[in-house]
Amino acid sequence: MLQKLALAFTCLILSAESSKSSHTNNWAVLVETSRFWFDYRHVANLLSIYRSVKRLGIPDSQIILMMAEDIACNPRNPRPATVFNNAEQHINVYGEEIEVDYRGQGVTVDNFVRLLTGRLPPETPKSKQLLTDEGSNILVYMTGHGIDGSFKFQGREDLTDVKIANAFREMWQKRRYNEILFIADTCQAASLFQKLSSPNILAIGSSLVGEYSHSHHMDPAIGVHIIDQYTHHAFEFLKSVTQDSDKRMSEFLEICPEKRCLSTIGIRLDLYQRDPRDVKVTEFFGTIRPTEEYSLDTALLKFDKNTTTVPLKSEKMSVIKIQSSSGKFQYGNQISFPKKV
Amino acid sequence: MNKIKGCLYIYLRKTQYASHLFIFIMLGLGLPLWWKTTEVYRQELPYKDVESLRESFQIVQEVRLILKVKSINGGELAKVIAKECSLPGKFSVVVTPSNYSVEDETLSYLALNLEDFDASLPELEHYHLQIIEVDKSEKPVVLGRRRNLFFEKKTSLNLLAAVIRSILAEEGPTSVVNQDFDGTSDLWNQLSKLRRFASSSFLNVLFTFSNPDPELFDIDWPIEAAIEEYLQPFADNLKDIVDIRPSSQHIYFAPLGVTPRKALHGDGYEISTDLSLLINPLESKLGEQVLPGPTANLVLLVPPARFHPLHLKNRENSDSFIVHRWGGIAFYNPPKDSNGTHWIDMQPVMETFIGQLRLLIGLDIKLPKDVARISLNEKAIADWEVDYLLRLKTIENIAYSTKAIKSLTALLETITNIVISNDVASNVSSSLESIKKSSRLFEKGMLKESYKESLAASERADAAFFDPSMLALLYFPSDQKYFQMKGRIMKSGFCHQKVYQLARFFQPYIGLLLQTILSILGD
Repeated sequence: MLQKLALAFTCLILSAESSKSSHTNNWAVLVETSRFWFDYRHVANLLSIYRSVKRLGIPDSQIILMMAEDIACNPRNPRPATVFNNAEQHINVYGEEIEVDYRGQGVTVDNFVRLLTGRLPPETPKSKQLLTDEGSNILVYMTGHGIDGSFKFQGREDLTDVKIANAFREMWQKRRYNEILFIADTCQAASLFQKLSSPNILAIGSSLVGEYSHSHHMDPAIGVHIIDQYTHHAFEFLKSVTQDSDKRMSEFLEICPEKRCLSTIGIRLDLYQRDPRDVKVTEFFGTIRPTEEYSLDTALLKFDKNTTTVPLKSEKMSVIKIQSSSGKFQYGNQISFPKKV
Repeated sequence: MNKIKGCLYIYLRKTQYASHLFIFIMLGLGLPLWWKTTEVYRQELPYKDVESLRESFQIVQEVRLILKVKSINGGELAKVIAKECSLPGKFSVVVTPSNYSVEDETLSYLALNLEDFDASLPELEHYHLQIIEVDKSEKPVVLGRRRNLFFEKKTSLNLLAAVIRSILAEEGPTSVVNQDFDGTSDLWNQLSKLRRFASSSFLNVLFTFSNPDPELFDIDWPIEAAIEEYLQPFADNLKDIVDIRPSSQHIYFAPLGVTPRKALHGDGYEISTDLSLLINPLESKLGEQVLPGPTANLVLLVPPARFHPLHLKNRENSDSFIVHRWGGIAFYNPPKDSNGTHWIDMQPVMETFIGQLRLLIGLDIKLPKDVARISLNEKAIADWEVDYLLRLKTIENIAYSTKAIKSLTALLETITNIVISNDVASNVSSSLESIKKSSRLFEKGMLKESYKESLAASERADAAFFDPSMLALLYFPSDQKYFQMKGRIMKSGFCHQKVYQLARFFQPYIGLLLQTILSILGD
C-alpha cells in the first residue's frame, strides 16, 4: 500500500513537470480537399478542428483555412448555412464567425506548397500568407482522400509524400517553424509522412499504409456520413481541453484505439526531439502571446511640447480648442453645451 | 588504305546501312541534343563563395572613443578603458585621451547643469563616443542625449567599462547572434523571444482608439496632431534605420476579452487574469492585415462603462503592457463628467506609446545601477542609441542574410530539378556582395553605410529564397511524374528521369503518326 502511494506520488511529481516549450506563437494550417456533397464529412472534420483551435485561442489571423467544397451553401444542404459534425446536430461547426482563406478552386497543390514555403506572389494579401517565424508551432491538419504515397486535391491533383517532405524541408531551412504537429485524416494516411526528414515534426496519421480510414456515423436525415472516426475522437478529446489545461500530447496520441476506430493510428516520433508526455496539448492547439507590463520611465521620456488648449468655462457652455503647434490640425472648434443629467 | 576502301565498298553495297545510319544519327546527334534541351534551366550560383562565408560571426569592429579629462591622468585611463572594453574577435576599442580645451572649459562654466552642457557640446560623427569627466553629477555615470557620457573622478572603472560595453552593444542581443547557426541551438529561439520586430526597412505603426460604449463616453483623440508633434520627431531621427509609417483608426464595440474583478486596493476594477486573453477579440477588429509588411499595433483602450475605472493589477506601473512583436495596449479611463466631447490629452498617451515603440524597435538596453540618463525631449531617442540600433540591426541583417543564402544554395544543390532563374542568381550574387561590403564597412565603423548594405543584403536574400519561379516545375518533379505512371519502380533515379523525358519528347510525334495512319486507313 505504501509502495503504491509512493509510486503514485512520484508519478504525480513527474507528470507535473513539462519540458520547457520554446515557441512564441501558434499557427494552424487546416486543409480539406474533397469536392462534392458526399464528402460532407471531410468539411465537418475540418471545421471541428477549426472550432477547437479557435476556442483554445488561436486567432483567425493565424489560421489558414483551405476548404475546397462549400457545404454550408451547397444547394443539397437541407439546413443551409450550417455544417454539423454530429447526427444530433449538437454543434453548428460552421458558426457565425468563420474566415476561409482558400476556397473552392483556390485549394490546389500549387497554392498549398507555395503557402508552406512562402513563395506566394508578392501581391498576396497577408491573411493568405503563412507568416511564421522561428518560434512558431504549426498545426498542419489535412483531410480528404488519400492513397498510398499521395493525397488527392479536388479529385484531380496529387500531393505526393515527396513534395510534402520537400516543403517541410524548405521550411526548416528557412526556419519557418519551431515545431510542427502534422495530422492526416485520410486513407493510408501514414504514407504521407514516410518521407519526412526535417527535425521537430510530430506526425499522426489516422491509418497505416494499406488500411482505410473509416467514417464514424451517418446522418440518415441528410444521407451522408457526417464525420470520420479519427476526427470525431480528436474533437471529443479537445472538448475537454481548456486554455490552461495540463493535458499532454501522449494522451492525444492514444485517442483512437484500433478496436474503436477500425484502423490503426500511425505515429512518427523519431523526428520529434521531445517526449510527448512532456508536451502539453495547448502547445499546438492553443496559443501563447508573450506580454509584459510596461512601466513608463517618466524620468527618461519627458516631452515638453504642449498642444495649445484654450478652455473657456462659463456656466452655460465651454469652448475647447486644440491645435498642433504647426497649426495644421485643429480640433474641438465647436461650442458644446453641458449634458443634461 | 585500299583495304579500308574495300571494306567501305562492301559495306555500302552489301549491307542495309540505312538503319545503321539512322541509329548513328539518333544516338550520336539526337541523344546529346535531346539531353541538352531537356535540362532544367539552372543558372550558375556562386556556390564556393557562399560556402566560404563564415557562419559564426567574426567581424571585428573598431570603435573610437574620445576621452576628455580634467583632473585625472587621461593616458592611463585611456589604456585601461581600451583594454577593458575590447573583446577579442568582436570589438577593438581605441581611446584618444585629451584634456579639456578652452572651449570645453567655457561651455562647462556657462552650462547650468549637465543637460545644458550636453546640449552645447559640438556634434560628433557616428561611431564616436565622448567620455567626459565632470566635477559633479547626480550619479557616478550619466548618459547624455547626444554622443556623450559623463563620469566623476570617483567613478569606479568597472562601472565605466560596463556601461561602455552596454552602449556598444557588446553584451545583450548582439551576443546572441555571435554564435554558430546550425539551427538546432537555442539561438533561433532566443531571437524570437526578443520583443523587437525583425529588422526591416519600414514599419507600419497603427494607432487604434477603441471605445466600446460610444453612447456613454463621448471621447475623441487629436491623433493627427499628436503624430505630427510627438511621433514625427522620433521618426525623423530613425529615418536612417527604419521608415515609420503611421496610420490611425477608431474601432467601436470591440469586446473586452476578460472579466475584470473588483480592485483589491482602492476603487474601481482590475485585470487579474493573463493579459494575453485581451488581445484576440481586439485583433479581429483591428484589420492590420490591410497594411503590407510588419505592423506595430498601439491600441488605446477605453474600458466598458460598467468596469470604470479599470487598471492593471500592478498599479505602480502605467496602465499599459507590451505584446512582443505585436505592439502595445494602454488603458484610458475617461473622467466621468465631461461637457461635450472630451478630447484626450495626448502627451501622456504618446509618452507611453513612444516608450513602447522604442522597446519594440530594439532599444531595451540593460544598464547597470548607478547610471542616470538625461531625459529625452521630443526626439525620444539619444544619438548614441541610434548608433546602438545601427550596430544591432547590421549584425542581425548580416547574420540573417548569410544564413538565408547558405540555406538556399544548400537546398538548390540537393533538390536538382528546381529551376534557378536569372533573377534568383542575380539576387544571390548581389546579396553576397552586399554582405561582404557591409562587413568591410562595419569593421571600419561606418555604421550608416554598413547598415544600408546589410539591409539590401537581407532583402535580396529573401527575394532570392522566396522567388515564386522556383516552383515552376511543380507539376513535373520526378516523384509526381512517376506517380502518375503508376510504376513504383520508377520513383527515383536519374536514368529513369531521362527515359521518361524521352518518352514525353516523342509523345506528340507518336500521336501525329497514329493520326496520319488512321486517316490513311480510314480513307
